[in-house]
Amino acid sequence: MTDVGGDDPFLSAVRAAGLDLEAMDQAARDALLASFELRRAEALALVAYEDGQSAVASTGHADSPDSPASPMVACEHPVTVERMAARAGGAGELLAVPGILDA
Amino acid sequence: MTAVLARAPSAPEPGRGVWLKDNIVTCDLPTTAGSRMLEGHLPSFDATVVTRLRQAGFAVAGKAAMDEFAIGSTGRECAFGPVDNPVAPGCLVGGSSSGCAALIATGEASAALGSDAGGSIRLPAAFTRTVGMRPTRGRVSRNGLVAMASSMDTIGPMGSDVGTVAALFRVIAGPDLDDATCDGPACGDVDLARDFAQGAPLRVGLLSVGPTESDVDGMAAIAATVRVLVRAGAAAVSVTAPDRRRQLAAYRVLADAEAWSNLARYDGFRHGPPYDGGTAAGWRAARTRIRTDRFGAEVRVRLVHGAWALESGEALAAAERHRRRIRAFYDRAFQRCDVLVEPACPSAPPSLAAAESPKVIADLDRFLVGTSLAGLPSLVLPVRTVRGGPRAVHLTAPAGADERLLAVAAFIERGLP
Repeated sequence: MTDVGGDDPFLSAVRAAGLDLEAMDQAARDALLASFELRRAEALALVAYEDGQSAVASTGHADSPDSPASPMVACEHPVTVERMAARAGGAGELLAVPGILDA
Repeated sequence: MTAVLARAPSAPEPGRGVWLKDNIVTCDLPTTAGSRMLEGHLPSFDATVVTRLRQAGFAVAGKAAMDEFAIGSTGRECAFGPVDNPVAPGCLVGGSSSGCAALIATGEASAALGSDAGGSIRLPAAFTRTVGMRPTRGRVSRNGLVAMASSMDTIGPMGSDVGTVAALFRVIAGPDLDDATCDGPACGDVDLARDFAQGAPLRVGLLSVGPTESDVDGMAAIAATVRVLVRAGAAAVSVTAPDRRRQLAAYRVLADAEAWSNLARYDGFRHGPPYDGGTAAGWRAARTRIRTDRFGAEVRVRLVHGAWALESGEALAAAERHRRRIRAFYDRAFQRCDVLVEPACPSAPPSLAAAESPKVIADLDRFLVGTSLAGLPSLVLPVRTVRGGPRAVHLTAPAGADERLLAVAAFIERGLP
């Protein structure tokens, strides 16, 4: 990955954003760096994921967002809706609704 | 509470006043976008939506506070003071259209126009028991909207009920020669009295929710909503949702990169209060000093991340690929259903203390950014829950089906306890 200016990505990005670290107090600088690193790590994880999808696409096993078998999916069956709603004090009748459980 | 940034000189007639988020330009009131960078800025023209409101007999009541440059989900990032939540004191009001939502929740306003890139209309609506709609991308002109994330920025109506939101949408929707991306049709018939027990059954897609993605009240709100529709003859189908964490990552890369680009124009000389010179030597140094002084902490974070994302290239490309993946998901989902239902937010509004955690803030828009990435119409509707906190459901319809979305929302609103 090419970073702005080729040196420290944070310092390069600060320059590219037209900001001056020296004009900020230490707490503001630390907070800015911490937030930047969080977002950058999240973005790099997305890059790795998308690269992985491209790599396996030729095998016919690329991830499908709505495939129940997909590792991309983090969900429960919607039966959870009724179970959780019942715990909250209602909506038990949904258990009898065709489509929700059977679809 | 600093929900109001400017009031119109004379109060509008009852029922005719509309509040504007302060990133929608008006030629008779300042537009600051909640930033010191634009303090005192008086635009030379009205946004297209404002012109349409005035032509339809509405009046601008004033400008409402917002998170700076529409960057933020909390309502605490306005340079002129935070906005409090009138419905849940001591909790976040949500952002960035925080002032609009707060004014509606207190009853001072019944109607407002906000803007939404990744949930900025819908989250504060969900946190204040009000209604907020993000129209289909391209149905409402962005001419005169202070740009943040141009590929996702959308002006939309907010109100105390679905009827108010629909009335505003009728006025503001339609093509505009001053916005080349606004080529959708004007608002068609919105039959808010429609009974979905008549005619072909509505197909309601129930988006899956992970075990840690929503609390019990959020799921109860979904159950109550689906019950209203199923009793009227709707068919409910389950739809497995994509990983919402990756949607958030893609949204943040794209939005931050676009914000970096859009906010590059603010140098402190063309807009805002005069620069006093200080000790900075030369234009470039002065510009850097002004930007550092006048942009708030959250904007700085987005600019730095956006600069990195845009220049790195790979992150931006991955986010674009993921956006296409999300659009394909919705295309497939809408082959099986007419409207999708999911919680509007992971929990009730977090307390101000809990909101100190970056993780809490980062997840607030979890259910909202997918439709932003796909450019789809969506709406947040309040639902009464057992424990009484502000909770809401998030409804999404296919692109261009804004009228149907409003009709379904009105039907649910009538049927909810």
